[in-house]
Amino acid sequence: MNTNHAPLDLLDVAETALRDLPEQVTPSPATLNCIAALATAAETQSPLSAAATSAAAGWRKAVTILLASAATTLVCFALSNTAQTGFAFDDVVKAVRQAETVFYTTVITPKPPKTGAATEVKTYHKGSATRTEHRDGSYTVIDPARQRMLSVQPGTKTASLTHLGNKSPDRPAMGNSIIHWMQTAETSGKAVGDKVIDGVRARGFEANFGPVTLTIWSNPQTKLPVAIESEIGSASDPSMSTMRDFVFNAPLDDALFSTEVPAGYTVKETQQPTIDMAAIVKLPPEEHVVRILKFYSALFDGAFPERIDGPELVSKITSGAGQKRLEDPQFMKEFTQLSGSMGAAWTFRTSLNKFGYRGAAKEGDKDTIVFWYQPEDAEKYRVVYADLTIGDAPAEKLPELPTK
Amino acid sequence: MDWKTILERDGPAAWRAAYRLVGNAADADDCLQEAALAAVQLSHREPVANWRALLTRLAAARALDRLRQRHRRRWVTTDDEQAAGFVDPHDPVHAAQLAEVREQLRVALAQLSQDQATAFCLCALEGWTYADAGEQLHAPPNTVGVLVHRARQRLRELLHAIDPQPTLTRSHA
Repeated sequence: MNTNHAPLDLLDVAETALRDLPEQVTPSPATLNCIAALATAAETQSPLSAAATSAAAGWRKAVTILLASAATTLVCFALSNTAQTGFAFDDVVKAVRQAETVFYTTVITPKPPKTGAATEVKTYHKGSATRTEHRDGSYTVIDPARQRMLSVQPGTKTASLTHLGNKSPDRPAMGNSIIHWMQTAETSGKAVGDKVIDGVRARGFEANFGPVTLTIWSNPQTKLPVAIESEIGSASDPSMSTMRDFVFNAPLDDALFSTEVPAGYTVKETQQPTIDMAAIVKLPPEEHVVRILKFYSALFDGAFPERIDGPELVSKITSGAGQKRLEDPQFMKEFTQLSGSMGAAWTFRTSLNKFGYRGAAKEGDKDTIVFWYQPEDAEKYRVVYADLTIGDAPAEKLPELPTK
Repeated sequence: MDWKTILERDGPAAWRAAYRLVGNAADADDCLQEAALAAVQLSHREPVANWRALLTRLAAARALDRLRQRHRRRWVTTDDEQAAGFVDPHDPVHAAQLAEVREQLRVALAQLSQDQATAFCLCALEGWTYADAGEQLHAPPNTVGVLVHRARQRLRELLHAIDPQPTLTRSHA
């Protein structure tokens, strides 16, 4: 047998090292609740949709193994039924609007893919509340009804609780954008064909969400999305966003959306400045653009952002501002005020006629047009020049840009 | 089926079985999710007498699948063992050695047959009896015993091949 300082049976040591797992290493209640909801949803659905839900939840291998020959039957069944089932994008929107809860995974992959560079978040929606979870265990809950936003970092046992400045208006927000958009906005989409996703022949529809073109793949049986794909990021640094593993109408525990600070956590509370949304909504598009460009160029030595209508704008401003500014209440107040304009810019692609933006310009040139659109019934375009003045210009004065 | 009760009662044991093998919470979450779904499908076909045993067996199997994927792709394990409290802050050298042997055992487990690896995990790591494991694996207890015995033999060979001169001594055991 082994004695002190004698070489050990390595298997014995390794076995013990793996077996002696500290008691505190357990799954989070949120994880267990989520899995219970998934299991309940899978159990209460028909065998076909249960299998589809299973697959959509990223469990393809398990389903393949466990259903064995049934998998082939499933695909054939889906294919044969899809051919006889016509549906339009309106049906998809209607189905989403009837959903009471949804959760899904968003995977963002650089384009072209780089090893290990993908990011993944899980998002849950119930009513107006949203929870976003990251792989490191951190999560954020936004509860507009209670005007609270809680961000929790288990790694450092810290949390930040933000008291939202005013009741969230009924507008698309960055956090729950696409689902919220499908639930509230006027939408249209064109069919782009079918493809098999997780054993279900899904029908694709292209639709515009702000500046982003989405391809929404929907299950012909439920009409609900099984995947939503889009290209995001800047032209120089594009990424692919894929929302997948959708589970609709599963019971989600209210505890998932709690904005109470977990016991034992150090919390930092902040008060988000009130935004006068009524005033912001009344601003014309060009005023929003001027506000954004003025704020951005002050941070980036007169440079304008490459795009004013994508989610990367927020992250660029955040990184450009630096930690010191982000801790400055006055700066954060102005940044928050700007969010209304950034939200408005997100809708330009669909709300404005012949909208265009020439990014990567610099502030100063009074003859360079950086933003334009054609107001309804107007001959000339409403434009913003690089010196941030506003005017009207004929079409021939606009910068030549690729047609989108 | 009251899945909330089942998961609250039996999920942690299954999750910990997966965590031992994959070494991080994110992968253990995925394993438990896959196990729960597989359990739903199985429960449609036959009554389930012991949910904890079923979930643990399925979660361990999923975790072993992940170990094999890592082994094939030569991925570096993304452990969060330090955050989990696996690591003794008072003796970081020994802790590092233990982390290394844990990883070596995972690498070796990835090279066993499914039957041997599962039997070893359930009996050696989870502390099941051969009879309990036999019920889940649909095999007589004696067969499970043989699987575990062969698994140990093979693991010793593999661990020796990975590290012919292990540096760990009993001084900290």
